Amino acid sequence: MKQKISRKEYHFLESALKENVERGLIKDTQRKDMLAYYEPSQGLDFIRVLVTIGSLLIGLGILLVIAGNWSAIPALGQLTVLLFFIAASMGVSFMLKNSRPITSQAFLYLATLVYGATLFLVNQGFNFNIATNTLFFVWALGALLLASLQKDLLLFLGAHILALLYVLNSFDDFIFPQLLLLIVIFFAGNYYFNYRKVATFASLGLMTVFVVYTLDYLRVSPPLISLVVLGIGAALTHVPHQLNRDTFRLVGLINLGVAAFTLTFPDIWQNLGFIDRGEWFSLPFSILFVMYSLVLVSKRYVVPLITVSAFIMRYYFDTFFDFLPRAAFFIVGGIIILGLGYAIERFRKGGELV
Amino acid sequence: MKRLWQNTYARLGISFLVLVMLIFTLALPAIMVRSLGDEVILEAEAFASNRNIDGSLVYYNLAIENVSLSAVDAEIIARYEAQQAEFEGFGPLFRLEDTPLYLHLTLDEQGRVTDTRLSLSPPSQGVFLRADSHILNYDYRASEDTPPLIGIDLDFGLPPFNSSINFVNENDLTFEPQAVLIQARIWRGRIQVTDITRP
Repeated sequence: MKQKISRKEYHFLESALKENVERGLIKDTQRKDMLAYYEPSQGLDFIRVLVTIGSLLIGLGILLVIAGNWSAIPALGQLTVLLFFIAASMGVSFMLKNSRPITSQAFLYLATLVYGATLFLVNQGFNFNIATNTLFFVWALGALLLASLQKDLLLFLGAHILALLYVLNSFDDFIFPQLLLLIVIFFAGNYYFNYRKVATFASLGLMTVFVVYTLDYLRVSPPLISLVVLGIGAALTHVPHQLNRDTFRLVGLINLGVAAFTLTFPDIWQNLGFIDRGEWFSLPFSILFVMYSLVLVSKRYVVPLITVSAFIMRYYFDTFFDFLPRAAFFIVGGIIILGLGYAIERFRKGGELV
Repeated sequence: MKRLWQNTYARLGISFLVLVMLIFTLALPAIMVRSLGDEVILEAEAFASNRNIDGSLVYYNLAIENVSLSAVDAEIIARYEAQQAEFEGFGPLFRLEDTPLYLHLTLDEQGRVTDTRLSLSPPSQGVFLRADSHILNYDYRASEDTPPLIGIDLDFGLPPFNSSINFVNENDLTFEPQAVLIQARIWRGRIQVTDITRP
């Protein structure tokens, strides 16, 4: 598999190797062999952004026209118009795939957008009474299908967001079969996209939300949910393996930070029946977690440093908001934030970080 | 199948077909209602419809005003009364936000409602109407001679598209106290409204 580097780095490498060929240090075949290991990544370029915004605007315009005149269009006509727009967007996307890849992608996004809007309009227009969460689920499936069509990573990530909206709207509903289907598809998707780091990041984050949903559905107490997420975070951070280790660690550290932050609040501990005074648990936990985070910081991980900063601000707000005069409170708070920002920035420049 | 998928046009066609099928899955519950359901008729004593400023309907609102307090779960009454205590002086009009209520219905052989009961959970047996939005009117004039009654306004979303009934006055929000017949069908123990007509 080729290593993706930024366009700037790729061009530098290309010109450096060319110069060395001209100097006679390496042969042209060697230059080609070396260059074959790298490819420029598709960063955000102006044209891509422009055509994507264009496609979104077209989609929005179509939807507004249809929604505004929905009742004036006969039932069969409504469906035909919407299906035509989906087919047309997909068709144009396919036609332009080789000659205009960026525009082709934009039309693929347009197809996804029109498809999603079709779901909502059909549901409303035909009075199917389908719950919004289900619509997000069906939209996510369609987005995954379209993402697989042209191996579009951005659309694959978009499907993650739709799946996330589905789960967030489905707390207390029984959605385990749908979740199982999504988990299988997202794992297959990661394989399909050659375990790209950003895809792994999105899928791992979504899996964490799935776990939270499951525990909430089973009426597990909030502190236990936080502790489970903490455990998952620790496992993702520390269990050694070969697959996208940095990404696993990043998600793990974020999980650890979020879960630990919730456990700094005494009230959450009091959800456990045997605990009367939450601060007896939250405070020692916070101290221990900060110590653990500092150990991680010493290994040059930046996320624990952000977590510690969040802890400091949380306790600062909690303790001094009622005591200090407002002006002093904000000035000191501002100084602390600036100081933490400076520390993180300085730390970040120090070397390779997660 | 793999060879078919490798063909660009076949892939495009199959993908489009799958998308169309996914859209059509939205119709499945409605189709199943029509094929599995038995007709039900609810009688409402009051009726309202809400409209957007452009005149499009937002939802129909059914008020059932003959549910006696004894047919309402005590927990619902307790919650409403707690809310009333918070808003003392506001009047006997309360709404439990984000709390679905379930109207359990007992039907006769003709599909007419013979008994109703309001609770916070769906019945294990029988049919029910779920209301995500609702207002409860508590009747304070109740005495020994007149048993306490409550009125429950249940919002149940957009009306069936073939409904021609219109109770709207000049204002956007209206409440027209007149009788209507709600025709509905049962699907998996849940009632889905199919038409609203004048009796």
